[in-house]
Amino acid sequence: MPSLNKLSESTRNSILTLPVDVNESTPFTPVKKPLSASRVAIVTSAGLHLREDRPFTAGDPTYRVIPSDAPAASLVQSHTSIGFDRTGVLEDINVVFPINRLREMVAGGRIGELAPHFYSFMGAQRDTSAIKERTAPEVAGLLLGEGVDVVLLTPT
Amino acid sequence: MIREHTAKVNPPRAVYVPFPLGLPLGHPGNSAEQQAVLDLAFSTLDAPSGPVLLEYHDEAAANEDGSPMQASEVDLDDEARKADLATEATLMRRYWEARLAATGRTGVGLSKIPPQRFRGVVRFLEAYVADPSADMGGRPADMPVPLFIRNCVEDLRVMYAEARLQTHPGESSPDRQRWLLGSTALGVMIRKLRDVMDASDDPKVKAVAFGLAR
Repeated sequence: MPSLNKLSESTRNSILTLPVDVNESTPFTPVKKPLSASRVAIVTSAGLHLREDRPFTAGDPTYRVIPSDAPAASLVQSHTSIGFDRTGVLEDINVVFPINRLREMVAGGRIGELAPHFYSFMGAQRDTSAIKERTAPEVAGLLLGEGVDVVLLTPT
Repeated sequence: MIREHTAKVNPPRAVYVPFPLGLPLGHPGNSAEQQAVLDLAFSTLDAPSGPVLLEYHDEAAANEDGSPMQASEVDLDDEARKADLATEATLMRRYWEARLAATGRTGVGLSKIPPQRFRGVVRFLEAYVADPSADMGGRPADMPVPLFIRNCVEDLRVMYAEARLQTHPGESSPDRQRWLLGSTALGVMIRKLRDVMDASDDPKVKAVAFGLAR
């Protein structure tokens, strides 16, 4: 993301007032196999979902499931904000949800395979307690259940 | 996520990127750039211990504006003040339809109102500005009026943006933003809605105002 001095004053102030978790330590799990043998999923906080799904609302702690073979045309973004220009996502969804790049990496043998499902959350969360306590562990369980080795997290 | 926040969250693996907000993987249509960011991200898997925080360097991207200009930074021109929003939206829909035919994809859809009914949406927004008790037939039952207004405005913004991509391919993000906020009747309407909703005593309505324009 850009440095603070490249943001407009209102956006800078808005971002700086977001409450942020402070973690003194970091859990770290070394990978057990090469990427070329791994199953990869995307989890995004870009507020993307299938067109027929219920749109996210501000502060919504729930998540949406996106089949990994869903065409880009089937996705819309309900994380709307005047803090960023959504035209980039309209032009090319790979700027936030790099599905075509990952498919190319699978085809080229650099990634083992894609997981059957990807997951999406709403962005710009001010209170993350429900996500931490309920929906994120739920999604982590789903990812483990689907044998996912590597998760790519993308924000907006 | 900005660098300052990432440092506090202290995740096991992360990549700082210099791109404007909304473009974490790089610029639209630049698959080589997107792949380079991904390559750096996946390279964090090779580290035996962490946290691993890498930086993607791109001086040109770092010099771009990181966030779009706001309505308060754009002066409305005379044509925007005189234009009829319903007529303008109908014209935009033609360009939007051409774009949709060419790409097969659109971000329009949050309001659940089809673009063929956007003239009705415009009439509703005009009625709301005159009297905030206004409502629109066809509003989804699970979408309260303030959220419906926000989604309608977003659908119009997206339709205009996709129309503009069709008529002005290659236009920069700041120029497109300046056009939408300063040279269209939609820019006028967004300001009016912001002012009316900001004057509400209902915090949920005020919150929508904040998200429409600053």
